[in-house]
Amino acid sequence: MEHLCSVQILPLVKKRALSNDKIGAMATNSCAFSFSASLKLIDMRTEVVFFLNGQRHAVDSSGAALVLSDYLRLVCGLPGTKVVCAEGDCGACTVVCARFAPAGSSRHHRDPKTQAEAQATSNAKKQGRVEFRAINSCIVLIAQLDGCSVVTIEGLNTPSLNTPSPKTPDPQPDPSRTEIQEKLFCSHAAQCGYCTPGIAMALAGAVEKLTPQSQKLSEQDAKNALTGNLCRCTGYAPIISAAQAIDIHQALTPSLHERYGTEKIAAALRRVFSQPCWLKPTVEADFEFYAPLTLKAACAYLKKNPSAQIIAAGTDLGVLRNKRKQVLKKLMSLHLIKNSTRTELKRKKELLVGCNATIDDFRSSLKQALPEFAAYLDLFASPQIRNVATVIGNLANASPIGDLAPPLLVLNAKLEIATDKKPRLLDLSDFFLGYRKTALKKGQLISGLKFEIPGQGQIFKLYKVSQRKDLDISTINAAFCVQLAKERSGLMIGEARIAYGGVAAIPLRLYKLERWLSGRQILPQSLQPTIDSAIELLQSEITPISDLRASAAYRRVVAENLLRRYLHHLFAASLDGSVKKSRDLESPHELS
Amino acid sequence: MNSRKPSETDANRPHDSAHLHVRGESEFVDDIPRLANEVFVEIVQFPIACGTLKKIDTAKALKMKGVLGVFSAHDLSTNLWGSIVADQPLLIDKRGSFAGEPVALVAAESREIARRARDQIRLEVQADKPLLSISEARRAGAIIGSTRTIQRGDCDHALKAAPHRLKGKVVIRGAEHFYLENQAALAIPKEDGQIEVHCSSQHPSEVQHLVCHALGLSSIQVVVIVKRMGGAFGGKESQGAPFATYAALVANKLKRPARITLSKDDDMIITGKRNPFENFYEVGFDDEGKILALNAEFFSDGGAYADLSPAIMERAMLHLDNAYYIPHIRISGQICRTNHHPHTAFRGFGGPKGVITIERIIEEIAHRLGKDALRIREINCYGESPRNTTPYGQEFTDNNLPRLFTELSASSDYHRRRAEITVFNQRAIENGDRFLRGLSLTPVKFGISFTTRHLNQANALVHVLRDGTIHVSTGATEMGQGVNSRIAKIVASELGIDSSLVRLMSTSTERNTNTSPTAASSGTDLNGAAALLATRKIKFRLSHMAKHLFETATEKWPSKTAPLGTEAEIAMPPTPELLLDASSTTEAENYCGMIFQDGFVYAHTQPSKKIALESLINESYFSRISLSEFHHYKFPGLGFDKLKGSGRAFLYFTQGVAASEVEIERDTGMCKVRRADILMDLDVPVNEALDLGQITGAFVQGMGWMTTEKLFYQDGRLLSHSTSTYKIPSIQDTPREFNVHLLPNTKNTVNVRATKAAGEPPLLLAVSVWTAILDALKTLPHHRDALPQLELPATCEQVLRHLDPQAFTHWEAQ
Repeated sequence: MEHLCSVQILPLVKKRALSNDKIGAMATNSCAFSFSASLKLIDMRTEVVFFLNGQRHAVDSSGAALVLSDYLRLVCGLPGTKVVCAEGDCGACTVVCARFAPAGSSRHHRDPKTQAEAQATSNAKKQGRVEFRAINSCIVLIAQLDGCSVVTIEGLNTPSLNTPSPKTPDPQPDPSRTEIQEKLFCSHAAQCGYCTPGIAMALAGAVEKLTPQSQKLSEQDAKNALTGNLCRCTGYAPIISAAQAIDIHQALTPSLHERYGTEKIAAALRRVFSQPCWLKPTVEADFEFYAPLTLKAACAYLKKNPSAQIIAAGTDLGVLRNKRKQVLKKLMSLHLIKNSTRTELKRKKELLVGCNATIDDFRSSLKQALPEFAAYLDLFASPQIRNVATVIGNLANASPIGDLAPPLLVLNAKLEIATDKKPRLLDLSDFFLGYRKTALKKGQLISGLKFEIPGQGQIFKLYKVSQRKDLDISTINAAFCVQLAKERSGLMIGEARIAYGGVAAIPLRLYKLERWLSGRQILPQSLQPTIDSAIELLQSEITPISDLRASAAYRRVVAENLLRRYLHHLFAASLDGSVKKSRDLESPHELS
Repeated sequence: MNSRKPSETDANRPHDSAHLHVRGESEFVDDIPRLANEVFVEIVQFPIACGTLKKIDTAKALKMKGVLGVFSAHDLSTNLWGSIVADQPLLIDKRGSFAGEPVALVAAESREIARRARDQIRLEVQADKPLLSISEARRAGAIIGSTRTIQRGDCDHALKAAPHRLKGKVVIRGAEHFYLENQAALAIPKEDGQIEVHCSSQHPSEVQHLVCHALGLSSIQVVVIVKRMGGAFGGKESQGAPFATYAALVANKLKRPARITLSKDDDMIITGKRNPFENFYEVGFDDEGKILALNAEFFSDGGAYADLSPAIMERAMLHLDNAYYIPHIRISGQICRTNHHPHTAFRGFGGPKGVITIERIIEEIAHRLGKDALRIREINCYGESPRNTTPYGQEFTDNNLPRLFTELSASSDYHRRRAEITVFNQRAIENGDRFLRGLSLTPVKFGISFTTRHLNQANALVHVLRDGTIHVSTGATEMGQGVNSRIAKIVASELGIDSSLVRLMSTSTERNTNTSPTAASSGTDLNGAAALLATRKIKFRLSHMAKHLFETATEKWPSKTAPLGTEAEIAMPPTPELLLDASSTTEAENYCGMIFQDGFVYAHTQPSKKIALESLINESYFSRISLSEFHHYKFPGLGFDKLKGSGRAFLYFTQGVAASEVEIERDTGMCKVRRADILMDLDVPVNEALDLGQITGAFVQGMGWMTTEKLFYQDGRLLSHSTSTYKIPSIQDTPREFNVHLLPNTKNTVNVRATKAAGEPPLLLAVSVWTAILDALKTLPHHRDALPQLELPATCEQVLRHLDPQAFTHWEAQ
């Protein structure tokens, strides 16, 4: 495949601007809008543009359908990035990537996780800084890198001393290694070495989120940063030690941002966002990629091209492609659409989520407002996936075991559906029609999502059960949001919403159970009969199957156990009067 | 000039490739730059578990642009192969025996085209009824090899006479190696019909043999090179060879370089796993819990072909005793032939299957007698004569087990925690709390040697170069375990220099032939000993030369006089036999009183007068003294008769203990390891840091098998063939508290540098995680009468089944 692809790699210094660039440069001035409108054809970019380790790459349809890891290994001759699973589940292929969308279209709400991060976020905001984040290069198409600066292990390596020393070096600090690599080296964190470049890059991504003020990663920080990186040799103990030993201050000088987010690179990439991009199929390459600037244009394209697939992070499409279950021929990306990555909490009450908002952004904005949900998201895939995968993508995919559907169903989320005419709102509960079948019609796409943060007396709980606690697809998941109301006679269950994943062909709202629970009074003596009846109803509504993750029996037993666990929780909450606001956060990594 | 002096950190020097690993500069097979004209190979796989191959329709694939050929069984000179028995076809001729079995090879200009072409090949097959489990195979009488037995004493009589008897069964499932670097090979045709093969294999000599055998070449035409592997764990001991052969076949046919790199999915579907076992036992014991007699029958799932299963079964049988003296014992083992991929070596080989069985038996005895399992372990532990002979008659001389038990139960605070957990669980059961806890302390005694005697040999080639650096080649292959670093350290210490001056070259059949696989934890023991002895021979000559130089005026030294030939050359005596005993330590008197230290050589009688090693080497060169050596080494004293099941099977035993505490969630069956404490006896490690890495790595790898790693088959097809469905431990699964220590110990006098092997034994310590889960479950009232029949791995579902068997019975009855 390497010989099929035509690529132009231009060193930045040469700056032999392509004709497109000139238009791009013009498009940044104030008259650009009308200009681009009147000159549609000329204005369309026919290459995606990104920077790789500081070099500008412009790729047309012949190379844009490659996954990044193949592009690195086969086209660029950069074999430091390894591929093991080819499905974003092992982290060996980790690289870091920053998307240089112009300010205004980047996210503007981020609730920091730690003090250090708060500092980082505010610094980043001040400088309009874009974050370098760890991603899986094995499932991201070159086309999706449009507007990004990508750094591989070769880019992380200190450039000054690129030739390895001729002898086995002493275990002394060596300037040819960055602080991260130094600590991995001397903590014996590399045995066979196949996962090591990915681990170094995942740590680089994690460190990049911190500030020089932070000192060290805690053990839990280290584990959280590397949840997406499998190692089969070390048992992780030396890797955890290495990560904890990293001197953050050292590791940040120079930062990836200073090296690969220079003003020159940023300016070149920001220009990308003012021009739509259309890679058209050629005789050699049956691949089309369209990235419009507006939702209207996107809907028009979808209407004309019903076979087109919308790609956001491609964390599912990339896998289907690699595993030869789907050939990706016609894709549309919404990354150039303004404000598409936003997550915004309005009046501390309503959360708005853009069509390209990532799980990580979403998690950040929930951290304060709805910690139960944020903690649940810690178990969503890996940092690499959360950094790119979108909330909307997880729903649009319509998997019966997607992690986001059950919580959003019980939160009564509404989807914003863009059409070529007027946008409309659709209840998420009406979205899932059958196995991987949704209510989206030809020419429609999901442009966003909104829901209200549960208020006083709403007991919101989420559960995920999987074969392995982290980095795994749910065997079964469940979401509960039940209103407890004080009546004269005691506590009453008000509106109840319950949804399960992994128990039917779609993420399932349990309407019968909800109706039965609503209006029921909670009394100590009636708890057991209430549970028994509720379980009976639950079992009548679900239809789990046996598959490689678990048997149908296991799913049934766990489904009722989770309901039992929730009802006990509800009962306890009603007893101790903690009804005011359910914030009893259970961090998934500090169970019991 | 580089400092020759060993640095202070030399004893714990990082892995010899670590500086490359962290920069992504280590070259693995698929990283070798694409060669001009290179072709890519993909494997067409048999679609069903068992049947006849009627026809391969390649017409559509061959028409595709970029497709260069499809090769099948007819293209091979000899098709059947096998490490022990040649019963497996490289490519199916008529009979297909497992789903995923290689049928044909597609060669194309690129991987993408090869994959698309593979999808276009149609196979016509006629399905037969497959055998998909041990019990099905036993019913059908499908076996591999004959039943083997090891016995001592009068088992039947002692069982009858025992005050207590228990009968039981343990079901042990397989596991995937999950090396990160998938199987890969690159074959390059050379002049005169030669082929150079770069591959990811633990056994380059076997690859060489197989390539020759399959292609009809002689061994001098094939060179096999292994630079390093991205993990292997036994999965590349025998099973790397066919893939290298496929690449060689295509390279030979097309006269173009050919590369094969499996996807993780293909790799998992095609290659064999750890053998599943079903073991049955009857044990007799006294009121204290002392085992009086044990009768055990082992059945393994060998898969479709023998592969290494006979040797694996043997090791399982040889490890049923584990740490315990069992006076009357009979162990029999039979391999069953099924329609699964041929199961193969995996870290621990058969060892864990024997150990798991006896550890379950101990748990059962403890449960029956209402005693703590640790007590039962301690009273059955090997001790003084006569309680120090294994069932196969080998005397267990170097017994540190009682000390290990005592020290770990103290350092892990076992008894206090046991009491706390008892209270915690009682309360949890009374109140219906969400969690139960379990604690278990288990030992390992792992025999070091291949049980097949002739494999216990190695050879090494050592070249001393004129700048004072050393070039060492052995048959050992580097798979992350650090064998190169250890051998370098052994050689460097012998010469009194820093190990950064020693480089282990890639493993190549051009330099070392007739080698054994790097397996059975013996890589350093065998190859390190060979390298040490080769080095001693050179050191002996250097010491003679040094003595001569100290007695000669410098102006008459060879570097000054040799060009004109004015001085006579020194005569060199033969190397004394004593220096060729790897277990001996050598002193200055063996080397003309010369001491090699910090890059210098001096007479112990006159430490002030020194010569730099580099100068000594140079002077030796001018005196025409050989600076190179080759040495062959074999483990001494082995004598295990496989047919009788008795004799000295092992050179020595690596020992250790682990205490694991688990917590299980009662409504989901999810499990976590709260704490693990490990204490191992490795005597004098060559590189302690690397050994600790082997311990933590093996333990966590073992934990995966004990808990989350589930192979799911449907009609014989493996469906859990990728990371999304097969769950090895993630960083979050590591024990929340993880204490690893080595026992300060005397020297292991039989082995090179008084060290002990660390590769496999710690994996068996993870059994403590599984027994800890049993420990948690057995506190439930419904298990009061009998220990739960917990399978291994104890997945969430498996655990929940035993937490709430009634619920499962209810739903499964419907």
